[in-house]
Amino acid sequence: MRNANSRTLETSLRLDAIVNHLGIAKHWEDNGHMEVDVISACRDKVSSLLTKIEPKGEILAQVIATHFQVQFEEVRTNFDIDKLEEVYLYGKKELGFAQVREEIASPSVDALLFQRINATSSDRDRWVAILNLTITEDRAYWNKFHELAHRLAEPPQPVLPFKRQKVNDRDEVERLIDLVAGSIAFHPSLFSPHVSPLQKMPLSFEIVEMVRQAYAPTASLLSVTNAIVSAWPRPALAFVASMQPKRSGDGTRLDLRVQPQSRNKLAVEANLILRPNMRVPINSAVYETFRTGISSLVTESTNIWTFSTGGSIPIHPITLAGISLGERVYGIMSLS
Amino acid sequence: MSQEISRRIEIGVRIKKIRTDKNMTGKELSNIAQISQGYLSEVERGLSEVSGEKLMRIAEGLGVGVQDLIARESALAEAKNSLIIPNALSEAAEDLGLSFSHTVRLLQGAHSLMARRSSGTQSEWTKQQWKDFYGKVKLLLEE
Repeated sequence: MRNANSRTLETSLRLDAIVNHLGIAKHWEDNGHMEVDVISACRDKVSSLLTKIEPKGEILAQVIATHFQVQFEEVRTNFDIDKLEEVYLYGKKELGFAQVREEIASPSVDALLFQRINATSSDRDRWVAILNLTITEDRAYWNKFHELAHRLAEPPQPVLPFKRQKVNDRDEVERLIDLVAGSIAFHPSLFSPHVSPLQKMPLSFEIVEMVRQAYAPTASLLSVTNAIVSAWPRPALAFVASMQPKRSGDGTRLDLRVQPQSRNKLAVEANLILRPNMRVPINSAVYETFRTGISSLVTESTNIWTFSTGGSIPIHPITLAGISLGERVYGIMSLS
Repeated sequence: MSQEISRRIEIGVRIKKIRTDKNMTGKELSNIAQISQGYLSEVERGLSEVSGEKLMRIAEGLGVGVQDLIARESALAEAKNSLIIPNALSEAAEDLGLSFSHTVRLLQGAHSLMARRSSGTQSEWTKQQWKDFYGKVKLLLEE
């Protein structure tokens, strides 16, 4: 999160509304502390719903949505938009739904959350979350939890001191909402039972896929990878690598470069780290996975992960897993 | 009956209605809201005053907002107090000859889209965008 002094007025008011709504203490000068409190408060709000349900992500999403009066609507074709307009715009006189067609036409829009004006306090569709699946279904699972996180963390519109505007995901509040979404989507009490029996095995994409199928088949491989890395009982981190130019170069030469995705607390303590945009060594198994498309699971040393300016990342013997997805490679590094 | 007691009873009735609509028992709600079952029962019957903090916990337990539990008139008054009409909408309303209530309904409709997840940027609507939005909902507004 950014420093509190660099926030816009609207962001500050929205964050203020969130902490008031959740009844937590303000820590404006300690953003990390505030994030932890917000996540914890949102988890508490759903904890009573977890006791009787099957440990599956899709069921969790539906149970939370039902309890908090959120109706999910999925849009794949124009016919789906016609139906939404028929039900909400013309049927329930919700004027806001006149915006749906134009919003969904934008490929950059993943999801929309409406708070219905004409709903009663007991309507099951008092909030309507519309998922844009016209191009890809990849982010559907994550976006459901992102919209639920909005519902959990933010007060309903009428009690906001400052009307909310449509925002994009670079907004500071949206990043906070993403953290909440991650903590709920892979809630430890439901997710950990899927990971625990596999903890003695080397961390591989085979494990990731097994857990994904068992817990949330509609979740993306990357989101499950990040969740497993967080829950793993040994130091671990995940990354995505693709052909990218050097940041300070002229942009003409492309190398396979890393974008870190997640890193668990144990990895932080063990100083297992990758730097953004560093090159994947050509003698690493991950590079071979990128070249051949064949998945890898090997042990190697981080001493080959060097910088162009000299030196390497802290040296560890690691288990390295790689899997190729189109023009990208997903990787996991873990310590034994 | 004093206004205070009447308000207390109204809140209690609302809590009980929403709880039963959601098929929750008093025990379940009191556990989630961290209050005793006896106290919840008194609140639902309008026999006990409920503090703001406890009302918030009850609302959270029910999955609704606090304003759903208080009188609708109070919630509407609160909403009215926080109403800010953007300049672009004011100008569009003037051009279109819209009444104040139609202008407010347009604003509420636009703001009912409370969040969008997007990698693109979003700026305040221009006068023309408000006019375009009005064009889409004109018939519904005039019904």
